[in-house]
Amino acid sequence: MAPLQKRALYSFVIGLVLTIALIAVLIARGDVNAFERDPNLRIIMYAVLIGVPLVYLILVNITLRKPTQVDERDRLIIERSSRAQWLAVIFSLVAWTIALSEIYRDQGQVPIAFLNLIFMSSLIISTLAQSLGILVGYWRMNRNG
Amino acid sequence: MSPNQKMAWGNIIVWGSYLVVLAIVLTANGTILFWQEDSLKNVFFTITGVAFAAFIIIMSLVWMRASMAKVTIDERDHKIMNRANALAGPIAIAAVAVTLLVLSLIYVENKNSVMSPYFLMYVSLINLVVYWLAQAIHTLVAYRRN
Repeated sequence: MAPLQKRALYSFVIGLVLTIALIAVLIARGDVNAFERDPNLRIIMYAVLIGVPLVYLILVNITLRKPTQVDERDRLIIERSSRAQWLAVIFSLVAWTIALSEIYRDQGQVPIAFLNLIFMSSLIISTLAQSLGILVGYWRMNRNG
Repeated sequence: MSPNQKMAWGNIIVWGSYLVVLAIVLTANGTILFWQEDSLKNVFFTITGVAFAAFIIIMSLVWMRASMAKVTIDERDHKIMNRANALAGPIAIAAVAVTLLVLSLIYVENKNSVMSPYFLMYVSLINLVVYWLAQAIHTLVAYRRN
């Protein structure tokens, strides 16, 4: 396993665990407005928001600085993975738009607490998708040669 | 001119015009809340629909003409496009973050706890348009440099 591939895998797994934990907490609270009321929930969310990109930054960017650890193929995979990153963000935004429009169709108004959630989910999804894109890039290269 | 450059010009023309036309229409009506008037709502969706249709038609024409003329895309073209995508992604995400921040600030200042779901459409559109424009500008700059 290449150093970048290994780090992307760690970053993806850690990010996924943090995200699942966050979703579980949100479901346990049961209401999006709890974000405004509950300082503990806010702290958990901010921790995940900072944690997921930070894990990626440390594992993929900072510890892979030596030129011998990353070759031309790795750089190509990183560049290509950004496409997956953008697609994941745009699909998540479209999903938020459709879901919230449908859920709040009768009221015609969406709680603004969702703006924070959308922002956080975009950042978390973007980081997870970058790691996943790197893993898929290696898998494809190994498969197709 | 390579197909990538043509696509980049197409993107700039379509999405640049889209932003200009939208700015003119919304400014003339004195609001960005397009959903509050049926006529403005129809105009907004028509402009957006035309922009997407033009984008798809231009992209299809560029690739059809390229495949008919058997234009080959070399390593350099791939490299430029990969770099353009890598650069455009973070710019688009930053644009989304700024939009969400501005919306939050406006609504917190107004002491409102709710907003229209139509605003979410702006957020998605900003991500798409900024991404395509940033990608197109970087592509053109990269070809010029090379």
